[in-house]
Amino acid sequence: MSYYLALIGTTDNPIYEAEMGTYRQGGDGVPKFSAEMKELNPFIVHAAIDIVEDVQWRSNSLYLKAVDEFYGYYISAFVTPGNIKFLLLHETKNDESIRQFFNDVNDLYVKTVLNPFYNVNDPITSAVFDLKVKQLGKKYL
Amino acid sequence: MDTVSFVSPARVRTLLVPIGSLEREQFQRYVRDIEVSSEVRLVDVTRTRTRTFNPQGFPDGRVLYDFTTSLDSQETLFLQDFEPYRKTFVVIGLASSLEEPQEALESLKRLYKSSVVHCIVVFDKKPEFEHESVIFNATNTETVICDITRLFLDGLTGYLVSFQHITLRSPGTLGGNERAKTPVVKSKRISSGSSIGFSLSSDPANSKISIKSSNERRQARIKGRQQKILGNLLLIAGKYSDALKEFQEALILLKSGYDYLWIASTLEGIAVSIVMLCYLDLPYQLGPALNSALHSSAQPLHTLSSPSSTPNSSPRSSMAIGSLDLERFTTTELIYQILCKMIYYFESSQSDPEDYVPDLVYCESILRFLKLMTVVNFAGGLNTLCLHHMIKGRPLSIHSDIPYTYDKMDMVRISNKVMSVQFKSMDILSQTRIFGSLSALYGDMGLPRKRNFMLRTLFVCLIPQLKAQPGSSTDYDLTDIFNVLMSVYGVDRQSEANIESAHAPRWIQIVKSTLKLCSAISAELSDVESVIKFKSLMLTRFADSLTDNEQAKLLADIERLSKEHDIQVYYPDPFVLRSINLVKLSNPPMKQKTAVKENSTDPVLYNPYLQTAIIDKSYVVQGEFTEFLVEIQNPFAFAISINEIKIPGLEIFKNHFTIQPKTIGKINVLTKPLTPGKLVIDSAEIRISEFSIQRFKICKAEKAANPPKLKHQETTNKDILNTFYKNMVSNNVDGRAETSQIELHVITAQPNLQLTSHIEPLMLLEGGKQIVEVKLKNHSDISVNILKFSIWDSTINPLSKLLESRDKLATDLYEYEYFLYKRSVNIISKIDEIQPNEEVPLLLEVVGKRGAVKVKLALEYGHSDDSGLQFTRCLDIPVPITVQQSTDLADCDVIPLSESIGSSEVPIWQYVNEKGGAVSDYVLFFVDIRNVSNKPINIDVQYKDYKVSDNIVPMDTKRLTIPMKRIDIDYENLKPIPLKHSRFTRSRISKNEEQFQKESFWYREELLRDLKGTWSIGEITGDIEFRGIRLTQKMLTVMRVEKVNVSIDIEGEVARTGRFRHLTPGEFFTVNVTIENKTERALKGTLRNIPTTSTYGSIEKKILYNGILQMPLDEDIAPGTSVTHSMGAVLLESGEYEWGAVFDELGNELQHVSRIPLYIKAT
Repeated sequence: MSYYLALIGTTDNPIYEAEMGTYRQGGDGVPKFSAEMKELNPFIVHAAIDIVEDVQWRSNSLYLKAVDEFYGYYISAFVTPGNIKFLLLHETKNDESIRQFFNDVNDLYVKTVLNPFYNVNDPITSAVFDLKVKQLGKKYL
Repeated sequence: MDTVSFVSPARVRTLLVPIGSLEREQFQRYVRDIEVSSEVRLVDVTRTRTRTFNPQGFPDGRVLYDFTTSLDSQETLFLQDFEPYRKTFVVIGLASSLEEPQEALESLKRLYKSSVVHCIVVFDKKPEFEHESVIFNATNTETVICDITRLFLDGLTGYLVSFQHITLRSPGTLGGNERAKTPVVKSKRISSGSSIGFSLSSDPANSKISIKSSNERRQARIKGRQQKILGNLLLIAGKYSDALKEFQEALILLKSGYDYLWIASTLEGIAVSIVMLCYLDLPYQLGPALNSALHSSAQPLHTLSSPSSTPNSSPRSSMAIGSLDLERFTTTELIYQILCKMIYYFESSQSDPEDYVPDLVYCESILRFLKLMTVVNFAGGLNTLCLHHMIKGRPLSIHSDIPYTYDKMDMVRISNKVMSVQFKSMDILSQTRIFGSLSALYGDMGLPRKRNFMLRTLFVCLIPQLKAQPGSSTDYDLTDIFNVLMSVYGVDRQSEANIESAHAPRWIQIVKSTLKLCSAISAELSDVESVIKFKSLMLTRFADSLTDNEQAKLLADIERLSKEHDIQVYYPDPFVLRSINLVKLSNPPMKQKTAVKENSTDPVLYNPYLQTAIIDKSYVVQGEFTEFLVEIQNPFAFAISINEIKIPGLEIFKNHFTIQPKTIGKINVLTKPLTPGKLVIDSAEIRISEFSIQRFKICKAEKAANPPKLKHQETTNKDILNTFYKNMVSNNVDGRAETSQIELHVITAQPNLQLTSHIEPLMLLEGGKQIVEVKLKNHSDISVNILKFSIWDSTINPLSKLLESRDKLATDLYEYEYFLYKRSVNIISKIDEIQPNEEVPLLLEVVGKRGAVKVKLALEYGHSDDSGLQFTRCLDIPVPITVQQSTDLADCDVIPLSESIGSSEVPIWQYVNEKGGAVSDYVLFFVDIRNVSNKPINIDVQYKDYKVSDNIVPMDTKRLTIPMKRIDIDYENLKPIPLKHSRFTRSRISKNEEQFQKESFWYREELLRDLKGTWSIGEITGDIEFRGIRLTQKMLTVMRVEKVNVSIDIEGEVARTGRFRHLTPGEFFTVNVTIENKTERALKGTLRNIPTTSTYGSIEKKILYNGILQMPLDEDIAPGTSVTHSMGAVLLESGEYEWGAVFDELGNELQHVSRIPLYIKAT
């Protein structure tokens, strides 16, 4: 199973993107998206922003669960109070794990924002952030 | 008509074809005529032969026509038995006049075999042939259509009959649908076969009619399907009540046969029938069958988790599962329930190996459902507005303030089901319809990104199709769609023109992909211009995200396409020109602040402080070569060549340069300014590689940016490509970059002097002189009438530096200045003007100045006319010179003369005696001169009229003795040392010291004025430099003539030999001490007589005097007077005595000593 995570800034710009594979069920953590899917991933996620922008006003929680689907892929969303959208493209529904995953990614994101040299909407280029997100992926996904 | 209109199952598909020779415009006019009456009331139609479709039975009904001019139902042929409304029932031939109607009719029937009714409408000329299928459009088209409707209803009866004797099979078992069916294992991959989002409990229980055997079930299916078809046909025929009844009956039968696919289709029929009845404003009756069908299973739509916490407007909310009561529902809720159920049954059928739902049916049903919901949402309910929009196509005004009847997220969830279908096996037309409709729906629902995604999907699926049909028509104008597509994906940000846009973050992957797609689509549509624009845009705005190969490929594509199609292309980097700088001219003309006056008497006056004021501007000369340094950036991964640069006002000599990838290249451009005046350069026209020549502004730097943190409300439908091109053509970069300009002043042509001969290297001894000649030529057509010489040598800089230091004594400073002003070259020839192309000789006298290593003659020249503006240029004439030291002043000294030697042999005494006067008025001045050259040297030294000559061998020192009259200057009132630039130096030195400085300076000046010396080595002669002389305090005392002169003498005649006066012991004598006051003040003080003896013993025992030795003067000595004090004395012993006198001035510390004491010899 493969996951595609995108953190979307306030101007529809990705500030962080990652493709991950699962370690469960004998997975090796390597994403196995087809070439076609790889190209489509950003578009699917981008299209889901529409839904997120609608759904986020209907819920009090930051985690919006699966908001959209496309060809059997689900898109789960998490919106930070600063309106940064975390979108995860996944194949099976697993609300609880994804919720934990998002919460922990949010922790990481908040730490990034605390950095005085980081501006909102800047791409996150920290290798540590990347590593930690991948570790969270390994832990929860 | 809208292909996904919800009421399309109630429309009669009708094909309009031209008959005979008909102009295109004429045909279209006929089509428009016909289309006006697309709705026929059954009451207007005459009765038919059979009862089923008899219009009289339901006079309120309508027959709705869906006129098309193209037959596009070929791909869905296999669905026509399942959904009969897909069939093109009626074919109407449109003709102007008809010669052989029978034949035309026959050919229509032959061509469109499957259609039920074939008829011809003749517009202009009434045919003679009478046939019910050939109708003359006598009055209006409405009656014509009514006639056709009767024919159609008759034909429908026949069509129905053909169904009654066959077993209706599901479309899945018919050919044409190549769905790879994997009913059990549902894969969710796009790449594999079926893709159903979710599975449901397979068996809908609770069927009220229980049928035991499979045979009975089959029979129920067959009957149910027949009735469902009948219902569909009745719907088309406008008998909606009957249709609703038939559908409900069919529902019962099909339910008992577990025929999910047909149940779903029947449910849709019911919904359409209800909507149509609403349109006619008639009541509808629903039987228990529908209730049971809706009741039979759990809600299919709850499978997707909904984050919605306040679904107040959702019709679902009011519904309690399991206890459905149809009466409780409003029509909108009812339709929603029915259609949700339809989707549920469609999905249930998907597991069936035979009776499964074809993807197209599934998708189109969902799309119709969504369309209905959208329209209802916009209209604010299933009202007249809504129905008229759906059925008559009346425009729908959108009221944004009306709360939506159906939940938006619900609609999204339903729409997602469409995207779970495998589209690859579907024909392209259906695909485009589905994607197109879906994107339109998303657009209506206010989901621009989803709409864009669908548009993109549509384009992606179109590309292979377009590839398969090369050379497609270029008629399509996709600009608007592209604009929508690109603006949502952020391609519209004008990063070349706006700094905010340039810094706005964007999703590069999406942007790239979108642009490639748009470019590919345009390429397939042979819209080369757009392709080039897309590719340029990609290079301009997103070059930083492209790989080197991509950039190179884009460039190659642009160049190839522009060459092939002869299209102007613009270079994609608007910031290519980074700077234009004037290369400092080797000899720039300088503006004179004031007009240079006519050469004064001495044209070579060098004054390093009085430099000509230069106004700091860049002047270039008309018609003269001027070089510019142009900085060109190349941010791309390919090298670019600069083929042409044009700067207005400058003639530029063509040059070709190549700028390497990812560098800023500096190129030198040789130009000639054309016209005099101010020239402001803010841009240049550059032709780069194969691109057309463009004007580029000078982009100095990027502006500071503050990237936006909030999303702006995007305004779509901007003309992105054209805006981009406009930016490129006009080089609209001011919003992004700081532009700059350079200002030049082009002045009229100036003369140009050149040195045509050079001075050979010279070797001079210090103080030596040599005359050399150089030649100047005026190479221009302008005469030189301003000529100013200035001389520079290598001593100037160190001397200037010394002058700046603060701790130097004024005497030293004077020396520095003296040498600073001392010229090393003298101009002998006087030149006032050099005519054009004239060559003039210039004679120079080169002087060996001490320490000079380099000597340069700077000639400022120019042309002065009446305009007042004067510019000069500088010509340097280097004088290669080496100065060797000749003589060195080793030492000097002064001793006083007190005693005359009457010799006439020695020239000194001869000179002194000749001159007369007291010997003590003279002093002897010694000067040691050393020959430091390598040859014997003859020296001649003259002081006033005394001359002395000598010969010195190399490295030897000779002392010259010069008699010198004591110098009488007013040492008490000396002027300060004259410095060119007076300054306060060493202000803290004591008064005495200052006095000494002054005295030493002025006495030396007196001395040097009269002291001249020359040396000669063979032919070469030169001056001896005496400025090395330094006077000490002692020398000064010796040299000067005192202001207060104390002289001693013995009264009366006394014999004397040499300096001695002869007296005898015991002889009385009187000593007169005269004090002469030459000062301007009255003197008072004490006179002290100091007699001494040379022999041993106390003076008191050898001399007796009358009075006291020390005595204050009684009266002041007035200026210009003298006082004599006399004292009687007697010597007691023989011997040699010396009598001196000192006058101690009162009030200051001055002490005046008698210059020559009185020498007495007592024998």
